[in-house]
Amino acid sequence: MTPDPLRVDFHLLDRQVVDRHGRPVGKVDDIELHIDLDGTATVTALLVGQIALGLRIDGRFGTWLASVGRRLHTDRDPVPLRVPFHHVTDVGSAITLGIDLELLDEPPLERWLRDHVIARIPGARDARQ
Amino acid sequence: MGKRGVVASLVVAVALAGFVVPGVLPATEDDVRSAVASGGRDAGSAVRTARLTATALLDGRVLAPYRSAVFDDARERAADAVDELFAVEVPTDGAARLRDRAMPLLTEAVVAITDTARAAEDDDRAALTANASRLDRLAAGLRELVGAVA
Amino acid sequence: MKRALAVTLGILTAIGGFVDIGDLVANSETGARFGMRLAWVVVVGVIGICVYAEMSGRVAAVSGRPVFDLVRERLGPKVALANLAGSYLVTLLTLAAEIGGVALAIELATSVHYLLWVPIAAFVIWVVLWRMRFETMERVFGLAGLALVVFVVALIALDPPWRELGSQALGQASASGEGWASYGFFAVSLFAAAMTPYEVFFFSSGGVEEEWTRKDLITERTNVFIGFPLGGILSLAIMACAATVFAPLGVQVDSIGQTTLPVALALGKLGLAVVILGVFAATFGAALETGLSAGYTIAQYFGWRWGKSVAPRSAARFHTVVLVSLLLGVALLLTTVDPVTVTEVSLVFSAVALPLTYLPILVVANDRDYLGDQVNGRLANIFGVGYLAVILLAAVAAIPLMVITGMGTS
Repeated sequence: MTPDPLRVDFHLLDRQVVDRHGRPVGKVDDIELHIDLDGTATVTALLVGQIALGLRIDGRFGTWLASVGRRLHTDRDPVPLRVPFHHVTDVGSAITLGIDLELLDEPPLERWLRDHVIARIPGARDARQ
Repeated sequence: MGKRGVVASLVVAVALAGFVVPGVLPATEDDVRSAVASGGRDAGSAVRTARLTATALLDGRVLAPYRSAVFDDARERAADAVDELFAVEVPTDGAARLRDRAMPLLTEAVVAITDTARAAEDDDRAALTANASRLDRLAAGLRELVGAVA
Repeated sequence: MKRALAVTLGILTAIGGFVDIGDLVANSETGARFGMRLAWVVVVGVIGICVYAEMSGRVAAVSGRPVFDLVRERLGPKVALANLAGSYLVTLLTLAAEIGGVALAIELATSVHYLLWVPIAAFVIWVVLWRMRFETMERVFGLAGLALVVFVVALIALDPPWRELGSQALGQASASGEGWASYGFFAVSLFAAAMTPYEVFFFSSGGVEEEWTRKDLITERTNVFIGFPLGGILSLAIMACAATVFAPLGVQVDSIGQTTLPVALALGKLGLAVVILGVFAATFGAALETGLSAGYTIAQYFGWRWGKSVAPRSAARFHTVVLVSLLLGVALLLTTVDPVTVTEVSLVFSAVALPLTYLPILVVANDRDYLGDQVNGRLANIFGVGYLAVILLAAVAAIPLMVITGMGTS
């Protein structure tokens, strides 16, 4: 279910994105638009992660945030996590995707901290409801 | 200078006027007076707290670890008051008289609290009672001092 | 029957969880200097936290989104980032103060200097955060914090001049002889102690984590509207004990040892043991809450996975923030700065940061997109807007009052 009309600034930007089990994926840090020849715009993808956020905030801090985001990537030319809009099943108080978290690229900071810090501490695998 | 520059220089100016300048100005008799007043108040609070603890001890109302922690706090607080008064600049004869009146009381406070703590440690009831009345006299003296300068 | 038990347990937890190092310090200091003349601030603060905790709980239950999620949505990434920086720093300062409080409580029980306990206390706090179930954690420390009821018992045993305390509280007694600036400074500190921002971060995130739904709203409201005012009574008892024992002697309170002394005088060794346990549990519980809240604010701003119901390795960024925050708190304390001073400073900056937290809650609680038919009613809005004015006043006045009074020393 998507609100009609969908307002990019109000309904999409800065909302929480969750996967189909309600697990947080990230924020809508920016979006990708496709503009037709007749000028109608459609949202094609949600962009998630520090790089997208940093570029959107701009200014000194934004640039710093984006460059940290880039450095964490192992790719030569890193890009933000791109979630195609057709995966979105619901736009409400959060944006729900119809897919599992695992199908998306893992955020590099999460992976680095998990591999180098958290997973090395005993008990890191146990969930405590 | 941009808007940010203006804001930044304003902040620096306020910080200078509020904190740095008063800190480096030469001391006046009033500074000594307020140092004596606040030192007297702190030492007085420490002495009376020690006195209350001594009372509680004589009534068997306090556990040993708690007792020594509270006496330690009181002693340190009184000693800090002495330190601060020692550190203050003394610009005039009047200021020197003020300091000379306060200093014996403040040092006596530290000593009395220390002795009370020792009497408590040794479980010496007679010494504890004697020190309790010493603390009472001191507290009265310190109150008078603060009343005189405030 | 089971339902009634759960509700009772929730209320008891809320009472025990209400008091933290800020309340202990601010209430006993104020009682010693002003008698009960500032008791009205505690009442105002308790009503304020009730109004806003209920709102944030309702938002969490209906929309499934915790407070800081909404801060970014409502304020945009830039303003929310400034808000994040402010809220995080205040939460960090409060965390350091709570760890210091735990260490001071252990010092009172062992006479071993508190600085030696700081790293140990922080480690144990971290282990509990890492291993213990959310609900167990909240229950154990909330219920143990109930030991602070001993302040009420002590007050009754001290048999204070009730009439005098009452007339001070009602503003009929003679002036305290203190200047208006210190009166204002302590009023702001007390208000901030009752309304500390981390309480709503924790409350709403806890609600999301425990998967509250509309059905839980009644439980949530009972906890808030009964638990917090009863917690406020503990605050008032702490203040009244200091007003009875210290104010007539002109003693100023600046240590936790002094805060607990009236209980020893009134009830002896057993009372003393209970009050030290209470201080320990209250500060330990609050350290857990502030530690988690530090993680919540950052994780919720960036949209990371957070919380205790997922395995730490699936929320590595969140757990790293919690860990680093604890280490920063320990580092601050190991500079040998007095934990009571840290507490006083944390209260001043909490007061400054209050509008950052409470304004977005008020805005979202009026948004039908999130709350549907559960948006604020007229009464909630009258209180909400009224309190926002008070909060703004406290925020603006906090720093000038701190400078004028030199942290309340003059």
